[in-house]
Amino acid sequence: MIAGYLIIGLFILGIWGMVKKDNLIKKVIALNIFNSSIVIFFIYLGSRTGSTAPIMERGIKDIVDPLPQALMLTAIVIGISLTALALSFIIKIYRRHKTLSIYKIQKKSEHE
Amino acid sequence: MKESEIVDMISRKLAPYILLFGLYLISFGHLSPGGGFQGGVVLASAVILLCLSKGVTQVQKLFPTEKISLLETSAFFLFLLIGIVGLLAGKFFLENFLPLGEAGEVPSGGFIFFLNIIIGLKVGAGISLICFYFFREK
Amino acid sequence: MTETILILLIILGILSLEFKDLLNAVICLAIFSLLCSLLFYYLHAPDVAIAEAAVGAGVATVIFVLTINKTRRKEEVEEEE
Repeated sequence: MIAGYLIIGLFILGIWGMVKKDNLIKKVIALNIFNSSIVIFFIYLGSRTGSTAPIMERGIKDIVDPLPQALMLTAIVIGISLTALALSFIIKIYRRHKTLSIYKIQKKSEHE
Repeated sequence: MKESEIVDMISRKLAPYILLFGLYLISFGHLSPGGGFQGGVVLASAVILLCLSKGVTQVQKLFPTEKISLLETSAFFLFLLIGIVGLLAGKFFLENFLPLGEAGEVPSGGFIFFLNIIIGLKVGAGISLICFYFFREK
Repeated sequence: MTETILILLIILGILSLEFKDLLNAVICLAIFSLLCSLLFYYLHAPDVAIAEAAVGAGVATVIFVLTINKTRRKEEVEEEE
């Protein structure tokens, strides 16, 4: 029960970082935390149904639900691709504006 | 980039074992934890380790960008080909067409073994390419 | 056990968002990923644990460090006008 509230706290930490932080790389770090919190949430929900890892051997029973694990494997793959794409965009933005602060970029583009 | 003796030594000794571990994860993926994606990422991390110590131009003599790119695209067609072989054998698309072995041994998965190898090569090549472009970007 | 690791994860998340030096923040994110993979192993998901350890602590950290190398390392102070 307490673990569920802690996972929600991690989720809120990720959203807060994405909204409030000024630096672009900090925003991507917050996105990673957000992604991890969702993965932890699914794995935590799936792990409550059993007490053994879902690996097929003889005489094994009472395994946890393997479906959330397969789904979250896909989520991790998408997360790393998203991070790589966002960071390559950040390099392009830095070359154009010579800054990483979203506030300064906004002010500069209003001048143009 | 400044050369460091310790990083150079450790990464040269460690990289072959990381490659071996990646191949283990790929080939035993259907029996133990691991699989195509995880093994592919471990393979790519060995290439990245070599890039960090020796510089990307040295590594690209060993793994040329064109060949890795070719591997990455042709692995997709190999995947499709294995699916179509299942169709030709009179079954559905991506259905097993090999005889199954004893449970708990490597051939027990049928064609899953080959699918894991193809996915591992594709993922390893893709992540190595991403890191090559990040390294070379000036 | 689960609660202990989750509290450590929240502390590491706050640290990595609050450091002014971006390199420190990225190292904190790598430790965050390693603790995540420990948690997955504890929750009977060894497959996801291997993937998270290889991706989060290996590839993502390298990509972040290369980006910081190509841009600037210190976070800029925002000047409100």
